[in-house]
Amino acid sequence: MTETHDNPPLEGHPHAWNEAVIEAEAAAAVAPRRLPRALAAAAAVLLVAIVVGIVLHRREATVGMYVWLSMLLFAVGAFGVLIRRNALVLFMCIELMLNAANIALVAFARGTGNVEAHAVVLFVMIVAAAEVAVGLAIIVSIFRRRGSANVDDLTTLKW
Amino acid sequence: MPVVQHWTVLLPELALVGGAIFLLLIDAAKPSQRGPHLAFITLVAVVTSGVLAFFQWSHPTTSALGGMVVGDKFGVFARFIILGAGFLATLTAPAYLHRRGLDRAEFYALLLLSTAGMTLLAVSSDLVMVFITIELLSLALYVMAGFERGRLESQEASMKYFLLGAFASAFLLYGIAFVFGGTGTTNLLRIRAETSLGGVADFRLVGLAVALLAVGLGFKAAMVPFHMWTPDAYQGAPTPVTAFMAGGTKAAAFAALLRVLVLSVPELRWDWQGPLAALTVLTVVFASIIAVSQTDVKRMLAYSSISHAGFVAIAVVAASRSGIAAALVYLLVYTAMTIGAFGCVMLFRDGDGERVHLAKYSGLGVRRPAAAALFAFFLFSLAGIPPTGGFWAKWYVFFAAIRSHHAWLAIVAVGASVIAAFFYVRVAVVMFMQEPPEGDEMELDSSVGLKIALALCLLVVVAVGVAPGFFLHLAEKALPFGG
Amino acid sequence: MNLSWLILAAPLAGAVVLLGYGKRFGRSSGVIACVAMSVAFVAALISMRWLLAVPNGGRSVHFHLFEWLAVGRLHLGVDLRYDPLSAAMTAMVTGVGLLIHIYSTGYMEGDPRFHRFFAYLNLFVFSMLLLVLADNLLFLYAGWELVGLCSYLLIGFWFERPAAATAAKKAFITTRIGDTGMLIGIFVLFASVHSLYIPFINRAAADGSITKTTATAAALLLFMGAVGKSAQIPLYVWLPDAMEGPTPVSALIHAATMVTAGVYLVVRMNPLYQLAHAAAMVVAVIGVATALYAAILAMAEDDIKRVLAYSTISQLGFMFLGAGVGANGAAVFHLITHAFFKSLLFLGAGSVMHGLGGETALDRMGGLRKAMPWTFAVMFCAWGAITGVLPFAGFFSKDAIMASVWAGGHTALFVVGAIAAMCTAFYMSRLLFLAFFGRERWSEGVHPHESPKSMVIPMAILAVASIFGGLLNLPEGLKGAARLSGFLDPIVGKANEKEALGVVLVMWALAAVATLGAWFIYATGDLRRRETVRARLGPVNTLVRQKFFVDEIYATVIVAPLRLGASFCAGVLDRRVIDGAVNGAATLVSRASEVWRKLQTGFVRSYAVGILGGAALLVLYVVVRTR
Repeated sequence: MTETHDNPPLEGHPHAWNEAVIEAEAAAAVAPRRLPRALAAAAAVLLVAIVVGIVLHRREATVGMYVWLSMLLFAVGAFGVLIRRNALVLFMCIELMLNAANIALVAFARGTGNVEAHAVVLFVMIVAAAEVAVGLAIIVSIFRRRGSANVDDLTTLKW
Repeated sequence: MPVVQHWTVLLPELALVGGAIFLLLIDAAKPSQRGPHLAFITLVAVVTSGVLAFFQWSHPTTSALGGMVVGDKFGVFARFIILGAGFLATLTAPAYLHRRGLDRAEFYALLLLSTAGMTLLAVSSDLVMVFITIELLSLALYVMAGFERGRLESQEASMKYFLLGAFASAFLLYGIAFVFGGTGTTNLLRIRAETSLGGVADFRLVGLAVALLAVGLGFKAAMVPFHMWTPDAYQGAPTPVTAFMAGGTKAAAFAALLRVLVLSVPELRWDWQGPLAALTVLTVVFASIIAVSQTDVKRMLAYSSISHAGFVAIAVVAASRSGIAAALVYLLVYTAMTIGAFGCVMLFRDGDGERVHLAKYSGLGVRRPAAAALFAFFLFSLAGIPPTGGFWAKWYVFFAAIRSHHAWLAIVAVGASVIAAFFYVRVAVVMFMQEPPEGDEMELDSSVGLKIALALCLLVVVAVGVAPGFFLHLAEKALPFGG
Repeated sequence: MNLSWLILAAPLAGAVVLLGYGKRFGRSSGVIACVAMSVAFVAALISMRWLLAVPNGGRSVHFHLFEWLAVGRLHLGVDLRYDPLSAAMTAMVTGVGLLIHIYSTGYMEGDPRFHRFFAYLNLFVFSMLLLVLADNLLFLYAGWELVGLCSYLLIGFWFERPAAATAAKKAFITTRIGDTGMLIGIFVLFASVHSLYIPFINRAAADGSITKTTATAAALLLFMGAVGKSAQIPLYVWLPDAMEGPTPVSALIHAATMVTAGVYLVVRMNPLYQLAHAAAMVVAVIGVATALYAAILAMAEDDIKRVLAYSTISQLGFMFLGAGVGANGAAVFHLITHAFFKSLLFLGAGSVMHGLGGETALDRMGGLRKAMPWTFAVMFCAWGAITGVLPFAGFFSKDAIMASVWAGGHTALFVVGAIAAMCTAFYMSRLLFLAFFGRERWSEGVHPHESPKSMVIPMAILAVASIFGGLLNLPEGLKGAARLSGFLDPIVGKANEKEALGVVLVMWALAAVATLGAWFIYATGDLRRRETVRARLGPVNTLVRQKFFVDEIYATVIVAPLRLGASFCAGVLDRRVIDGAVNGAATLVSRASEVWRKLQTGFVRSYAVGILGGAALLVLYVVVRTR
């Protein structure tokens, strides 16, 4: 690695460069230590919504229903951003919000009979992929330095 | 609607992207190369782009990419502000990066890509383009904000900026989806047609959409309550990046906000003017008050940039020709004086680092009178004290607000600027009225690029101060979509 | 070719260069300043030639440099007007300015702030030119304030001396009193005609679209500014004290140029004063009263520079007398000749001081004729000019004013003016005799010597101008037409000018009597006769020597109550009420700041709450609204 000098190992983290340890810690960080009740509730709502959606779809779903679904997904994503502490999970919640918007776009495309929105969805997916690349790089970089992906640890800058 | 389609509208952006690709290629050919030639290539790309944009000034309005991008005078004016920010940031960056061992080709490539994103945003005439360009400029800025990987603040700034930026983009995208649902299109001019008399727009959806778009663009422009990333990101990011973000992003975001709000949904004016005015008041008052108790100069300048977003937003609320012109002049002056102020922070070295704490500025006016006077000049301009350019910028904005019957907004803003004057002037007082500490020689950064950049900023602020009418006249010609 | 932009640009460039890099240039900064002035002077001459080639009547050009400000109905550009009046003024300002710049390179030799002096001097010339070239009142006012600022800086140039610092402050504050009135006058005019352009206002005054009341009010308010700047009663008190500044400054600013700005203003706005007849009479009366009053004070003054200061005040009074009775051409003519001979007198005084090691008391001079022949010769020319001896310049110009007064039927004004002219002859002869004739009275160890060439040559040129300046405007009775009047008339209006031989003879006789009297009292070796005269005059002498106690009266009647009021305001009102309110507001703000900044917790998720909350509120608003 050429840029080693940019990443001086933190004190108190003598083995911060051990890839295995990093992976283990990352896995521990990503795995929820306990499932927050709120998220469980949200997940349940989501599940119900999907089921209801499928059922309704059989009965000739309207565009409005898809829009409501997308709103629900968007809300779940936004809610997740507020309650989760892990940067990766936060990021996944944001992806959820983007995809909620995608659903809305596709639904509206169907409603108006204008397929332009399908192209928009493709663009959004590409952009989201780029965002993942940059986002993961940032998260990994900070994780290497601090040994944690908990966003609540990042409070040096405040007030 | 501009009928003429021509790809040459995109030439300035092609120059920027070309520069970025060239930088990446030479970096691939000879990895990890450093040195001033990288900055020079960047400057060449920016200047080329500026020259190409300049030729569009006299052209009639054209569009490209099937109406997703428009080449109008408004775009040229906004591009010039953005390219100016890029140019100045490139001038200030090499010395700063060199001292920290970070002067690598990626930085300049990212800077160029981000600039390209900003200029494209300023000429977007389609919401999809707005989304993509915002992502383009943001993704580059996220990385640039965290470029100083050895410093925790820089990483933290990057992380916060990234998470919140992505969060806000989701709102923007959702807004775009609703616009599409409400009007069946994402093209700004067609949205305008659909929301006008005889259109088929669903106004409930469009209303929701405008609210969500305002969230996304308000985030980029740093308006309260979508501003909270700003102080942290500005304080943590490397100072050249901060200067660039403060200047360029704001100009691009407001250019887009003007196009979206004032041009594509003018019929909904009575609906969005009220809430936007509320956000504006919140922005100027809140930011000015919080800035009062800041002791970190970079963070103080960050709050100052938030309050300036409020002032530009006043011109957006005015939603008139004079409002658009006032906003452009304001952005021009604001960019010059803000980059000037951040440049001065870079100028005042403290050992190997910068002088960021206010207490470290005491006696600077005694030891380095010329540099301190320059900083004070930029601060006075930011405070809007006549006869600086900042004064005229505020003057035109207030005038536009009064003409569109928003005098109360101007009055509130004047009150807030009185509060703001306090913390600007306080820095000058600390510099000139307090004794310098013993043994602190207060060396200045000797970088030539930084000095040139500061001179250019000074030139712009003084020029607008001396001949504001000239710039206003230019800005009045620069109406979006050719009027 | 018209180069009015260059006339302005050259001194400005000089000032900018010297302010920025003066230290680096050191000694050569004087040369730079002189070069800038030469460029301006040559440009002024070229422009003048260009103007003369234009047929009379069409000689008024407007230059729009750039648009400065456009708000609603108010359009203000940086505009210049080049017409005979401004041409005459610029030629005078640049010409005399150039000579004084050259003189200063010798006079200021060895001063530690040499470069700074020339920077200010160039800045002053720029400001003065802006004042006379401006086409709208706002820029005229800007020049007006800038010359005031330069005057302040230059009077207090040797600010280590407390007297200089005090004098600078006094000058600035006193003139500011007048300026306030002037600014209100400008507002009155703008409110009435919605324009600040001078030709526009003048046209409005001429065709009667300004009411007579408004015109009178505006004219009087503008004249307030003129009274302050041109040191007329009651605001003249600053000018004698301003002599604390370096002598070239006194010559340039406090004799030739800045103090004449008031006269220029009245002449420039002459249609307004024609409409407001009462205001014009006020101008004439104040002018003649000042002329007499200052001349009386000058007779009893023992400091050479202060005599000249009172003399300047008195001569400015004559100019206002001329402008007040409508003899604008004569007033400008006298303004120009006065610029020649009065700056010459100051330079001569400076030369005397230079030779005597800074001595200014007339009592310690005497017999300098032999030690400083050149200085004596030029001072003699200046004496001839101011006393009104044929063929010196002052004869023609003062005579033109007095003739107009007489021809206008203002007998009372004429009598007072004639007495003032007589006093003038007396005090000026007194100065000349005390300094250059009689016994040598200078202090031990002083060796008078002639000044260096850089000082003598400008004086010689000015002496020539003082002798032949009258040729600019020979009376119609004599051979040749009234050239300057003819040149100026399209701008300033034709004066009621009849040449009366009687007037000339009366003036001559009075001057001759006064001169002889002065010779009798002062030209002999000792000062015993002077003591006798003083004793005879008794209380009158005391009164005059104490300057009618005006400074003391001002101190008790105006300054003391103001102080009292100020200390009341500061002590009670300000500290308790206003400070209380301001401090309260400031405390409130900083408290709010301390609390609100905590909202920025540093937790990124709380920032997301902000965004989501804002978005929710906006969406809620939309939902409620569209319902």
